[in-house]
Amino acid sequence: MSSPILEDLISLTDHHRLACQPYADYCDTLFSGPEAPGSLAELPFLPVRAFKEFDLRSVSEADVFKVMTSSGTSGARSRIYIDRETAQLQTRVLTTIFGDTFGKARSPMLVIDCESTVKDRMRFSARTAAVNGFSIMSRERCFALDDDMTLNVPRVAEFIEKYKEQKIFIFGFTFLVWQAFCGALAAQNQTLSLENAFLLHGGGWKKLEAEKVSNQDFKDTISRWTGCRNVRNYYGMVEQTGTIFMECPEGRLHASAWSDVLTRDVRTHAALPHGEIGLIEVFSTIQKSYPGHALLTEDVGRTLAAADCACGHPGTIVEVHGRLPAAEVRGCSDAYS
Amino acid sequence: MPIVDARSFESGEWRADFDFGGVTAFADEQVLDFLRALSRLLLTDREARRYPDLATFGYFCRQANLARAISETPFVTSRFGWGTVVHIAPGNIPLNFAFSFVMGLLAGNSNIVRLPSRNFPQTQLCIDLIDRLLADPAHAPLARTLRFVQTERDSSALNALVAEAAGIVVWGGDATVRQFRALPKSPRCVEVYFPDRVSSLLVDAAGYLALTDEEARMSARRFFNDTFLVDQNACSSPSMVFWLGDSERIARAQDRFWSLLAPVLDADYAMDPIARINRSLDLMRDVITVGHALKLRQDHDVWRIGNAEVAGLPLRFGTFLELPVSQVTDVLDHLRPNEQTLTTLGVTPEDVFRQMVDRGRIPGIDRIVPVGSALDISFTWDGKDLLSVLSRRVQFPQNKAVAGDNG
Repeated sequence: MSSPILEDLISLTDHHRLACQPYADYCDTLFSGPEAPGSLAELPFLPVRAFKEFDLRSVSEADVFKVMTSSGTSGARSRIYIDRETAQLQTRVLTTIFGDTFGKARSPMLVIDCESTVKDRMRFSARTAAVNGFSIMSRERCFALDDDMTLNVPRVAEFIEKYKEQKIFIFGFTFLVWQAFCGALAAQNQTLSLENAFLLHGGGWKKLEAEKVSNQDFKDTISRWTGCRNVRNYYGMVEQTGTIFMECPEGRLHASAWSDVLTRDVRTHAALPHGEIGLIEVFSTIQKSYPGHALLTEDVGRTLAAADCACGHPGTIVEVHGRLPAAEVRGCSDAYS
Repeated sequence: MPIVDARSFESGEWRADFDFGGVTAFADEQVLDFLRALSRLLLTDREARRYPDLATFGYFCRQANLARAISETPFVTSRFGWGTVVHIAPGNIPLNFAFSFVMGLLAGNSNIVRLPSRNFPQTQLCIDLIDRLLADPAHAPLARTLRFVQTERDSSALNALVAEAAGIVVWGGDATVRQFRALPKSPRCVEVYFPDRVSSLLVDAAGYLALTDEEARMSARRFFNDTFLVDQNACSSPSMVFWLGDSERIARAQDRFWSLLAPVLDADYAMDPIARINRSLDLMRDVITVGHALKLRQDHDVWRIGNAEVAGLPLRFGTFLELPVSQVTDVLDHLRPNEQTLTTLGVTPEDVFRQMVDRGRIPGIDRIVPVGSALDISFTWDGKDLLSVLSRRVQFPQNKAVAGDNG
């Protein structure tokens, strides 16, 4: 299978080999494949965790426009070095994907999170990055949760009343939308009038999986308590900000025009055909300032051909099933536990 | 006698019937009786026989093995325990605690053993069997000199206990060692620490090539047991492989060795998917540290690096540094400051030791053993004779004829 973005990714590989010495040395050591890769599978790739452990950038320090960080489960933070060009690409791509799905107008934004998530610099996390990232699609923001993560119904109701003539953009992490929003509304037997709104959520199903909540259960529950029927999930990560995989009307996550995806065998890292479950590797064409255009994640799932979906979107489909469990390594170091 | 859990440990009630400070003579008859019985039980209990590491421990406690260790200790008849020894067992080796306990007991001490917080079935089973023996009136007095405990990571009660103890044995992890070294202790406290160590394999290419196919296959299995069986993460697991000989022989020996390992890995090894990713991250750290690309051969689950500069960096998850040497003493030039064990293949440990010291060199290692024995724990560890260290020798002028007592 050939990817429409393969040529772009080959150019990026060449660019980063020249601009980022550790990347070049790593690729030269580990990837002795053909000079000109003939498929996505033959491109060198980095483990996504590399950005948590190492400073990898392909621009001079002076050209770093901002450093994006995200906290991981281990406490280590990714450090993503963004220059002006990459920042602009991120915004342009995100805006386009978002606009193709929800329309180009900027909407009032109801954030299913608390304000301190974006204010408190010490708590900067993937949530902070996502809330701020999607805020560029919005006009006024309202935070639905108080700092103790409880739903502030009067504040939300007031916001809905104020913008009842407009489409409200609801955004939140999947488990917060489920627990802190729908769960709180259900507990108070409180419904909202958000029939006009659209909801975008991401961050993973892990916590919902444990409760055996399907995507349809999720949508039905949101519809029941808020009236909102336009609900979309996305798959993305701070290491590839911008090129998110957006859920289509058929409920499938598609690669955008700037991204692609494949899976690799968890045991051998050999590329797998569509349909087979393995580690998800994501590709993105907009990483100029850091070598993050081909990243092996620790997410497990499978891919499907775009043609398998009735929605007509040409992007490869990814299904995310969960995260690799932490390793339990034997041996005698790290003893006292 | 159930394990004292973290909450009960903090309350200190468990001390009511514990003989704090209690000592016996070195290799006391009652202790030997108990260990003999324990060995029999471990080697015959149906449940216990399902765990190879419990069997290894059973053999360790056998009369012959104890007798050998006792005979190798000088002045055994004038040795006694120090008092109560606190053992801090490692978190990820199920039975290390038991070996540590037996050494403390045989040396004459009363023992408090902090168990790993992770619950391994063989840990519990081993303690159940010990309890079964202590319920027998013949062994019951020993129950007052032994406690297995679990504690929080920074338990104040544990720290207080360390401050009182006559001895402390801390197994592994540099961070753990640093933490316990820094704790206040009795001025006379005997302290034994086992920090992180690294280990290597030496293959004499000619000797290895002379092995029969069956012997070579067996040595692949033994190497597997030294390394992959514990994710190459034990202090004694080789992470460097020295190849002794001329380049032609070395190339043939390498081909044979690694290709015989492949079917063993196929059959019995599955690298954890996260560990597989960690291996790539290690490689990135390597290239960043040395500042250039490395010579890497990837076959199977084995990564073989050919650049000596990575010797001081973590080598794990099936990554080995391979270096050719033209004589045994060349090995000494490449050993790391915390090198522990050299396993040997195609050459005997005695030979290797002799060649090292014959040339007036000091072996920068604590242990030379044949391939397959890397993980066998013994009464001497990290260069320390534990039965001597954990016991007190009462000194008095002895009649030379009598002093023959192994002295």
